[in-house]
Amino acid sequence: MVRLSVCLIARNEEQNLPRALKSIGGIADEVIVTDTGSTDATAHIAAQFGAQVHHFPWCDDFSAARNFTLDQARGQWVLWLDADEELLPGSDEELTRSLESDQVLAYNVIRQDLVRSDRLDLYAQMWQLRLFRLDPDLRFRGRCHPQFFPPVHETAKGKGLSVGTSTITLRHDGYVPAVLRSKLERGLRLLELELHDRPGQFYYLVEYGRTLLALENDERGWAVVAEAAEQLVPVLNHRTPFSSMIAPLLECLLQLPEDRFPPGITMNTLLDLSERWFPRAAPLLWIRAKREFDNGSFEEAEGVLRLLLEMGRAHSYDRSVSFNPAIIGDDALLNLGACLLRQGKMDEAERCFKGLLKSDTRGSEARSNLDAIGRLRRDFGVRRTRPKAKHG
Amino acid sequence: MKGHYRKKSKKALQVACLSTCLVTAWAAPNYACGPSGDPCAVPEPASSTLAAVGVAAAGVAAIFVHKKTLRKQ
Repeated sequence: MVRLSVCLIARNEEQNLPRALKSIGGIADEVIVTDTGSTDATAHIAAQFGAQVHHFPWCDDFSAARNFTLDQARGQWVLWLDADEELLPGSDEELTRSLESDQVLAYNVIRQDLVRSDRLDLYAQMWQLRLFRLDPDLRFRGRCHPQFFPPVHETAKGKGLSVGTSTITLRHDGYVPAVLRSKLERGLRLLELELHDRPGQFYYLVEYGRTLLALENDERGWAVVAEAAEQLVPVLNHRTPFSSMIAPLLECLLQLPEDRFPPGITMNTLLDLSERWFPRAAPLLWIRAKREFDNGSFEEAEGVLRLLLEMGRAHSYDRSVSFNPAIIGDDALLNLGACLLRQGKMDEAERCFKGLLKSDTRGSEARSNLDAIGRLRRDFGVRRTRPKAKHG
Repeated sequence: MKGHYRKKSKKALQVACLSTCLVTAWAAPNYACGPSGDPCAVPEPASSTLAAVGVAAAGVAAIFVHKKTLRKQ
């Protein structure tokens, strides 16, 4: 019986593929690799690892390639893997447990998005729907960022099943700066085609606007973001958001000049929606902290930064959208130190900056701020408060 | 006179803390070239979301309560 099929599509992935395939050694009953036109050794490497290799001519459509791959699979379950990912050790037991459930149609698993290949401890976690039953009703749609259509929740409901979460963990390094720009440029073209095929889709409009902005096409980017925001106007009073992609849209809008907002949307609307709909979205909290800091409300900024740091320690932030992990780590601690010093809390500020001295991203900034505190202490004769001795 | 001097010095220190040059890091919260959210990913189950929001809210509340207590002291 074929229980688990691990599926992936790849093109010119000879560098990444061995790592991905090695990580699933021993857990898959079959591995299916669809090559979409490699000119390197991708297909050869996949075969060496015992994968079934299929060829699918690239047609500017990730979903078409994914669906072709699913058509080749024979397992009861599918674990979808990207070539720049690996399954982390320790996921095996959870994977076995997950496959035993007869109540679940699909699982979200955890993906760690690295920002630097050499820093495996620096990541934000995201939910990714990657483990699902091989079912003809689960097929992808969308030329890029494929998604199940109809939405997986509707399919699950129709079958009397649920969508679960799992602690199975993947590590992903596809967002490291070296490869990001070329990915965005390819994505931009596919997003344009997707919106041409099916205009007005909220998810893709937001993604298109963000991609344009990331590629520094500001004028067009802001116009697309404003177009997506128009879809918010009729639902402003709703208790819950209709899509998790509203969070990154709010993130963009909060950085847009207010005179560019579509009619019916103000800065207060955006701040209200952020707090009401996405109280744990780290990027939105970060923007709020910055606003408070810029306005001189250091105590409020301190509260938000402490919350971000706590979320970073516990990974308890909203995991539906990826973000820069520095905002729940070193950058948050540096800014917290600044907030504390602005309030005259020298000792606490000093502790924050000292905690960063070994940081390879913010160590020099921390050193500079410690020097500033040192000057203040000298100029005003302020001594460090000695820690109270413990009794008993 | 001594008390007056100390008060003035404290005020000057406050001003210095507010104006001294510090390095901060307020880069955009997303990656320089923003990655997407996962269209297939779904929000966490309502119960765990509410619990987590509760924890987060309690965290913020605790910070403010702690500060008030400190101020009273």
